Amino acid sequence: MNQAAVTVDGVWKTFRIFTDRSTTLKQAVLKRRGAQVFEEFWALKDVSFEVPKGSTFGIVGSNGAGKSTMLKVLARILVPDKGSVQLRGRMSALLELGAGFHPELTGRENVFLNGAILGMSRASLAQRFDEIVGFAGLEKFIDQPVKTYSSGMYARLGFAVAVNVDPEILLVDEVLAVGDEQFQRRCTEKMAEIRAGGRTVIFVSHNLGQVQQLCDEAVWLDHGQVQLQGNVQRVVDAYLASVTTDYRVDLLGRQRIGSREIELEASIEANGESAVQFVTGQPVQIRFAWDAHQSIPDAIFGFTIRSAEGVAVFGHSTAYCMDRTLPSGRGEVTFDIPALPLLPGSYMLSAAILSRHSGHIYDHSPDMAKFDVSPNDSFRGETGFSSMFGQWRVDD
Amino acid sequence: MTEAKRTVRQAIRESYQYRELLWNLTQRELRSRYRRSFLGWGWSLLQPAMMTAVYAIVLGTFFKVRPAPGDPSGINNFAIFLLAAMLPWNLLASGLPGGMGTIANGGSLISRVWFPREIMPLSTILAMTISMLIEMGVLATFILVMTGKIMLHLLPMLAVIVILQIAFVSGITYWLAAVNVRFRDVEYITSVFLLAYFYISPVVYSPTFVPNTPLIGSWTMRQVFELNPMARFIKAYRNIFYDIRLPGLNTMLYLVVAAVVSLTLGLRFFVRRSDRFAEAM
Repeated sequence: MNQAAVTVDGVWKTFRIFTDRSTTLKQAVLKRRGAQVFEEFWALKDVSFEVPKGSTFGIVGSNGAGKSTMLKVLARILVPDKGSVQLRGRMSALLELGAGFHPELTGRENVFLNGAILGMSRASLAQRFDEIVGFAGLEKFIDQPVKTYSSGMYARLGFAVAVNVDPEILLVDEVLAVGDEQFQRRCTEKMAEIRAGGRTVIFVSHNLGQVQQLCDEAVWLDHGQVQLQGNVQRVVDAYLASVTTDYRVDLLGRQRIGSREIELEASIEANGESAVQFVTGQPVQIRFAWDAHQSIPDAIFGFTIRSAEGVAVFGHSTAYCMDRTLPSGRGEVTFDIPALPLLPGSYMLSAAILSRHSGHIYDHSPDMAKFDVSPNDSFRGETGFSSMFGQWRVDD
Repeated sequence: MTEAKRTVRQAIRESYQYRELLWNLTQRELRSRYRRSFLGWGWSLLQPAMMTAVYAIVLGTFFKVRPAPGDPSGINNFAIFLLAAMLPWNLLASGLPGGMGTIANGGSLISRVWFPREIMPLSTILAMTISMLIEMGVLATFILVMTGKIMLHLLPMLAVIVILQIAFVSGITYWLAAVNVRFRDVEYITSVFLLAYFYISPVVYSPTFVPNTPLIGSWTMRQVFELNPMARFIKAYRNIFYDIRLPGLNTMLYLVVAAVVSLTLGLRFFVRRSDRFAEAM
């Protein structure tokens, strides 16, 4: 009895990297015969693994390790040169949301088109149509051509169709990071529902926190070869141990990088209390609490505030104002902001403690603290990330 | 289940499983074609009508081209003579370049989702076929009004000829679509080739205009001319719409051979290369 939903058996995949690829007939005809025009690059080398039925399975590895190639082979988009892949059940791949949407056609027409591309029958699509549109939250726009949609609406409709295809095996390639927060939450819930429904999910992500959180088992690929397969914790730990001794995900699910001779906790405070919600113009403090396991001679504290889109809005460090050895033990450093200039929006605080001389990272979290700034009437009408605290003056 | 090499048999089976997608893509093609144009589907009828008017004036009036009347119908109408050939010609002239580009211009449809690729060129050709059938319906009505000839009894044979033409055009389209992924020149070569092919096929004239003088060995120029499968397709369509009779057995046998050879070779070539389409994107 074989309970594997997917069996990958000795898969080899090569890509030809054309050093001088002829794309016109003339070049192809004129080319000297025997001239070396491509190099072979083995993206997958003898990859074998099994995905148990009903499990959520992660594929981890560094960039270029063959994760996406593996996923495309599973999705049948790429065909292996050697070896075989067996999928036991209906497969749907979330590699690109809304692939094949036609801009001139309406949302309704595209739902049926996209569903058919994913192998769903018209009858079952008609049955689930309202559910799909409701999930995407596009009831009002469903009869508009999709070219009028925003990229978020586009992706939402694509996701809604793909997950409602009701696959027995679902392939997901880091596409969950679309749409606003509310939609992301719905995606996560839907994924949980699919997993709870006994479906097999194969998941490729750089976000190891997400992999650990979602997956039961994982395979670690390195330069196209399987390094380890098994329990997700064991695989992720082994992978991390190999790429860096420094990376981990802390108890609060934040990414941490660094050698941890000294550990950092940063928060934003207003009125002496840590908070996640502020208003423009309010006095706030960014407080860095450290816990050093040994004395650190050259530590500097630094932070960056990023917008929800990842734009660095402001950053600063103690490099120019503090030069002393931190003793082992605990302590605090505070950055005082007399009036918060940030305009309404979501922001992320990235904080680090590192060596002044070598740049060596002791502890760094790119997603240390998330906070929101809400509107304040005194700054009404101001746009961008930051207030200038300016006033209009009309000289008659 | 994925195997290292797809066979033609497998491709046909999978295409059949995805027949709903084939129909959806055909609809997409039809729906998007005349979207946001004032006349919409009227263009589909107007284009051949305009071309026929131009040829009728230039060839019929200026050059005094007079094809023999339909036998046995006795129809002596240059417009009907032209349209009977122009409509099937357009299936080739628009289906071939359109279907050929579906893979090379398929973008994320090819590189991000799997389905049997065979249905993409076919969907374009089917869309063109549907508009051809509508145009033929209008032509049949026109014939009825102008000459009082009813041709309902020829409908089953017409269906057979249309299916054979779809197979013939698809075969060439598959072959060129696979080549086009690698060499974009094919698009330009094809448009030049089609222009030449238009004039060596008897679309705007009758094969009887081709001299029956010896050309190669014992072959006359007209015999060589009639080796062209499109010349035979046009002959069959003219039998239906101009002569109002069934095509001869010879013609039909020739069409079957042309359709089978074209589709078999084209599809085999396409299927064998379809494995690497996504990589070439």
